[in-house]
Amino acid sequence: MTDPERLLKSPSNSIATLLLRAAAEERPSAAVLSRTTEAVAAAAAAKTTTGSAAAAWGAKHAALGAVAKWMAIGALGGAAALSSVQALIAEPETKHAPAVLAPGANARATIPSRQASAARQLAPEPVVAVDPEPARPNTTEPQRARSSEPSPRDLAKSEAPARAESALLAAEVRFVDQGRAALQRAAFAEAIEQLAPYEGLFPHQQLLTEVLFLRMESFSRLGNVERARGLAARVLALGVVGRQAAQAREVLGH
Amino acid sequence: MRQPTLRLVKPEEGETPDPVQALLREHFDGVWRLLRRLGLPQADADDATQQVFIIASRRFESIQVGSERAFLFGCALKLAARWRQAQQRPVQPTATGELDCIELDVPSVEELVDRHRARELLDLILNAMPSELRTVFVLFELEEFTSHEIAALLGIPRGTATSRLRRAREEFAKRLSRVESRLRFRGTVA
Repeated sequence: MTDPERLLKSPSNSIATLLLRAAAEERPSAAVLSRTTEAVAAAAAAKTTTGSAAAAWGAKHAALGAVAKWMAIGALGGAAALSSVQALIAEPETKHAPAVLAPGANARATIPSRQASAARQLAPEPVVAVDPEPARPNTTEPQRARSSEPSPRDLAKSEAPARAESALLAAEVRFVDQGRAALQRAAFAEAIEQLAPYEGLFPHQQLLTEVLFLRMESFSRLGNVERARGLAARVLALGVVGRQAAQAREVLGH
Repeated sequence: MRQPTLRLVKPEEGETPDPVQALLREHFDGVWRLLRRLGLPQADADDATQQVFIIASRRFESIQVGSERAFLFGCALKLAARWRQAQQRPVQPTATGELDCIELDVPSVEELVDRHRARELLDLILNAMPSELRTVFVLFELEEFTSHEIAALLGIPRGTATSRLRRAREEFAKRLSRVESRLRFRGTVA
């Protein structure tokens, strides 16, 4: 099966050929290419930054998890010792002390499962509140793989993921609103400062476009053209259209 | 795994060129042109083209070697479809169509030499075609995809692609002949 000859390649100067040639010769402006190159570069940079931030976040929270784990082990050990002492006090005349101690030995043997339940009690909701990321960074995976039981965070997440997500979004909205309010008060430096920890606080970054836009505005009003341009490129890199895109382009001078 | 590391600087002599940047250089015009011929106004085509390459840079690792062009044009087709939905004005083929409304605006052959006027007329004809035919027509006639490539890109059997192409060419010829008859009527075509 062969394709027909293309009208564009036809040697005749028919109207069809004229129209198609005109269309084939159309090119985007150099400014568009340069803007796209900038935007793609910014997107690549943002991807790297997000990856690093996620890795750092993962490492930090893995460490917190380890602390919680050892606290749980300590608590459990203390509880086991206390119960042994109570047992000894309650049965002072028992002649088979080793038999009383035996459950304690069993308790040590079953520490992993108890440890998980103690950890569940120690770290319930707040852990969910700081963990909005559904897809965890790979850096935390090996640590999870070593654990034979699901982490408390996973358990808590499976219990109330929707609630946690909406709480997180609400927190994100409040956070961005504060930045916007500062910008509206013409407190540009304050707005920048307010929005600075956004990426670290909200790994989900559902309002990233808004945050970048507010930062761009703030830097622009402060006269920091270089930072404003960088942010404008990032705003455009997110595929924003409409008023925000127009403003970002204006900042970029296109 | 393929790693995109886009730089704005030209690679040094002997250095491996950045793959995403190479894609951008090679296919930027084609993607933009396709979006324009699928009906996007210039500003929207600019934005959508940018979006295509951002998506490509993000998913670069998953693009199979040799199918970069298909990936980029496939993205462009999806964005164009989404744009049409957002505009809530899917391209409706009409019997009389917009062509009848522009009787006085039909340019002369001399005017068609003016590329801008020629493109305006072409877009008008394309706008009057059903979108699935328009897509196949533009991919084949302007971007020089083969019917085999079109079939793969659109996820349709090759026979369907060939049949759509035949119908698209017939539609185009039919609509163009009406324009030509008006030109003759005005005495601008011999």
